[in-house]
Amino acid sequence: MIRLYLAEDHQLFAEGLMALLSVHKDIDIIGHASNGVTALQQIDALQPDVCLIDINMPEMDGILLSEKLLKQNPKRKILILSTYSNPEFVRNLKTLGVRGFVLKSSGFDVLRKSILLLHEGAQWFEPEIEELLLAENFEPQDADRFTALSRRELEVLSLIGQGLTGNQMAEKLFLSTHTIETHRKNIQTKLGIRSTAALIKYANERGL
Amino acid sequence: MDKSSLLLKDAMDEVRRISHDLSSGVLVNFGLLPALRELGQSISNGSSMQFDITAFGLQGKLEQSLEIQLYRIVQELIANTLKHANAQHISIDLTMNEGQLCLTYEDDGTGFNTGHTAEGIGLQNINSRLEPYSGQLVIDSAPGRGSTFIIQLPINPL
Repeated sequence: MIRLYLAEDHQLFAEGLMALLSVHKDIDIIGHASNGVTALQQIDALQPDVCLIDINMPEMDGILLSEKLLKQNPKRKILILSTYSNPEFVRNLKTLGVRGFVLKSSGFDVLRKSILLLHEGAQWFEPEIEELLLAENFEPQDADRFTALSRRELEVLSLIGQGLTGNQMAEKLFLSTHTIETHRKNIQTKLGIRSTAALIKYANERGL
Repeated sequence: MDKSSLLLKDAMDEVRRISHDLSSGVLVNFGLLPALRELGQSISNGSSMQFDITAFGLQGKLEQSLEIQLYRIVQELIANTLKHANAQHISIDLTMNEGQLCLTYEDDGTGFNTGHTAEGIGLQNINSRLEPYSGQLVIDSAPGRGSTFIIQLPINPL
């Protein structure tokens, strides 16, 4: 029997989950709190096998709660429940030492499976988010710089490549010269290229 | 209210609701950029508005009070675009360059005369939010050609 602790402030969700888990005999909810402060005290006292923690909670949210729990005991098995599917969240949570991440839009089966996996010592993160994280990690630096350019900056870079001056670009794009110069400066920063000649070369090589 | 006003009101309520959610969760926990991405995603979901965000050089979080102010400013600009501009596309860029943060906000809407309407549409509000951070707002717009708002402010390392 896995001893699970639930920190979740939405009553209906918490009760529904407890009802679903009571059908299966392998997971037992040994405690439940609707805010992070109470959860912190109870988890310390109850020492559950796995902690299932919601991100948005009053008083102390799930992130801060996880941080504190992992500071007490880095081996604590924490599974985060969230409505946000942002890869940057997951990256931050992984850095904290959280071992799993389940979206609330996932089904009960996914949640149950991830609790079992965490209990066995494995980790479980939503596959769609893992894919996004991998894609980010493998991107070469030059491509990173290029993709950081906004649509408008690409347009300005293309005109720089055609040899237009600031004033000519401002006229063509119906923008002020201040706006054009800001775009130019940001392009230079993003690409790490200072001189106009090198910008022209870059734009032409990229076929802009 | 006619149908388009109702739709607009829905959109504005949605922006407010999302912003409220975010200021208590995503913005505080994960910082400005993820919060703006979520905001953009929520606005383009279920509407024809296209929303792009690009960023460069922003490592980690900024001072929290500044992140909140910048988030509120973008919220204000989006509200203006939805209310007045009849735009299809909003783009936001955040670039950090040698201790200067540059936030560029652009829409492809109807634009406005910067000499006349500037005070009426909440821009005064934006300036007062920027003041404590020595931030500067420059507006580039004219009737018929969209609007670009460029905000620049010095960032002190935390």
